[in-house]
Amino acid sequence: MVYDVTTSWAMIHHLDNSESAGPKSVTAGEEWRRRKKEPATINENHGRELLELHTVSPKAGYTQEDVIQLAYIMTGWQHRWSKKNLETGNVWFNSEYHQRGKKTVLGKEYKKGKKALASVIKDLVNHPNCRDFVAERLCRYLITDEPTKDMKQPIIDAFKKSDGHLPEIHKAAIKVAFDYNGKYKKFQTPENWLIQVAKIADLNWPPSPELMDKYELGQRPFDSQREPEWILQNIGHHPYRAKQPNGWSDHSDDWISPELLIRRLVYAKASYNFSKMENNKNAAYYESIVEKNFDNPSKIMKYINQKNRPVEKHTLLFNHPEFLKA
Amino acid sequence: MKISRRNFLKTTALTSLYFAGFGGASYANSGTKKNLVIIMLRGGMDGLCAIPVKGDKNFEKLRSKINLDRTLKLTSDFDLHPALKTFKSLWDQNLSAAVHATNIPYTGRSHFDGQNLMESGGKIPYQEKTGWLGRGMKTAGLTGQGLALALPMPLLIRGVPMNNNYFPVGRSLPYPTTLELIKQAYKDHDEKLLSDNLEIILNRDFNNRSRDDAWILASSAGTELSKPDGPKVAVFEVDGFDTHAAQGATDGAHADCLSDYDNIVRSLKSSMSEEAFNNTLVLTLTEFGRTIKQNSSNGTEHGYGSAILMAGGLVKKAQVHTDWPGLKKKELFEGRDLNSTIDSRAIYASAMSTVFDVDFKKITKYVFWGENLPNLSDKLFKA
Repeated sequence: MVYDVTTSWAMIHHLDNSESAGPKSVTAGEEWRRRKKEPATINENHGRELLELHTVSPKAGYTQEDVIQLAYIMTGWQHRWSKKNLETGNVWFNSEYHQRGKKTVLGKEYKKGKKALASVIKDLVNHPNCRDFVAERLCRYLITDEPTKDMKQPIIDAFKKSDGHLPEIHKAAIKVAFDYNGKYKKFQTPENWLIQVAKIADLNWPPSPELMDKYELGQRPFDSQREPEWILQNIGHHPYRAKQPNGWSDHSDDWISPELLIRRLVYAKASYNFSKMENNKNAAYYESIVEKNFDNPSKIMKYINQKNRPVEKHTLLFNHPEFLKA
Repeated sequence: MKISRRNFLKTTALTSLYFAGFGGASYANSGTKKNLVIIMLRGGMDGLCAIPVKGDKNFEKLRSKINLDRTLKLTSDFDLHPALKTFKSLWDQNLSAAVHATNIPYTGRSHFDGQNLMESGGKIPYQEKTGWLGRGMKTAGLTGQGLALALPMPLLIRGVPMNNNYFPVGRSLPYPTTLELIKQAYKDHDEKLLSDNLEIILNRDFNNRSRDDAWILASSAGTELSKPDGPKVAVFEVDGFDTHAAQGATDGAHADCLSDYDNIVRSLKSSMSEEAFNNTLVLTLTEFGRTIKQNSSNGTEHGYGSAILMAGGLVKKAQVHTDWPGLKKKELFEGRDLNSTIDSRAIYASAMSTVFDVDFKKITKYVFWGENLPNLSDKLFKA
């Protein structure tokens, strides 16, 4: 999978690998480069991210030279534009851009050519730091900010045993999350919180798969199709625009600040606008959802019954500490 | 190429001796409220695009596709990017300055690690859970006096409790009576962090229904910073400096980002009282500079040395402070990047010492783990 992602059109294009040219490649010696004064240089962007985010993480202790060498291995992998508007084309290996000679990444030597990328990726995903990195991220996301060694071990074992088969790794992670469920309560990220609100309140939201499937490539999405993106942005968790380039934080404290709490207050209130008619008419609605989802239903009912209007009850319920932490 | 290595650091050493001779200067609080504003430039700001060096043929050759065809004049050695109009008008009033060829001591060229370190001030990525500014505020006892103009709380300002952040949602809050009930539930569950944050929400003076353009944020911040009991620290973020491709020159992606910065400064200046702006320091912060050489996509790669733009009345005078390392191949960091000859942590430590009225040694001890940084307060800022 890492290989497929690495050689996917979007990654090759957006991480600038198509512009990466080996200084010791066929194209480096071309006449037009001399004439236009455009010597062949590498673009390290994709190589660096392959090490840092997609496989071994900086804990593996790789150096700038490792990044350069990996970028050399990746020279030649380029995207082709599709003739159709807004469609991705193919990815191909342009041997004229490929850096000649052997390369060394994390102490291991790789031959020149197209096949080297698959070999180096195989070695990177089998590196112990890659397993540890994946286990750590899963535990942090599901259980606690500070995963323990014991917590990670079953996931690392599943990774080894299944040779990195993701469904097996995820199964192990979910099992660990259940095992530690009583012990740790984690303040939920805005996205998880929103999905919980939608599920527990039985909202007319998120939009149905039928509506989302009506989207056609090259068309402008309907406003109703873009609504999930907008709401997530407004609660501080835009699905693809994290402030830090390594994505959104998995640490609880990073999600608690005045403005972020304001977003939950405001959107808990707004969630009432997505209520289903039948729920609005059902007198036992709050009792049934509280009964089903909280450890101490009578206490929660007493709390939300301090207000009469349903919109206020929504605001109270979805900002209760027992709801914010799970 | 007229510019040569300056004796910047030598005079700095003398300055420190001067202080030592007097057994430490007195930092009595003068009673005037002073403010520190940090504008984070995410993605790696190209110091040589913001403040290009003059008359370096080699530099012009290496950047044939992204050279500026029009610049504003700063000094005999440096020009200014034309997008930095406010900066230039402040410069003409001795209200802005820059430090060039400076960076945090991080040479790894990764945004992820670099942005983490520029905010934490540490040396190992992801190790510190607090920011240098947060620790500085804690050292100065500035609890509840920080304001981030951002939706999540930036790492930079974490480490001191009760900071505020503002990024208007554009809707009104639930009824006060409802908020009181939620506050009670937080208390009953011993959720101190949640309680404290709700307390800030209930007591603050911001319009939650306004828009979130950078100049509106800056104008709200400026108003707050001008209040005698308002915040003393504000933090902004500008994204998009990572121009690997199509960086542009006079216009383009990098120019747009610099212009975002300039708009924030303009709006701060116009929303602050004259007295408040005269007692304010606005500094930029970035993770690294960019390579000297343009790449094959007319962008630049991740580099090392960059520049810090400084504005506000606490700037000593309009000057480009630098210990210029030169741009010849052998003078570059690893043969490719502008070197950093001034550890930018020294500038931030000096700024905190000046603005927070805290002894410089105390700042380096509690913020930067006793790192031996030169005190540049006297050189760069007004006391």
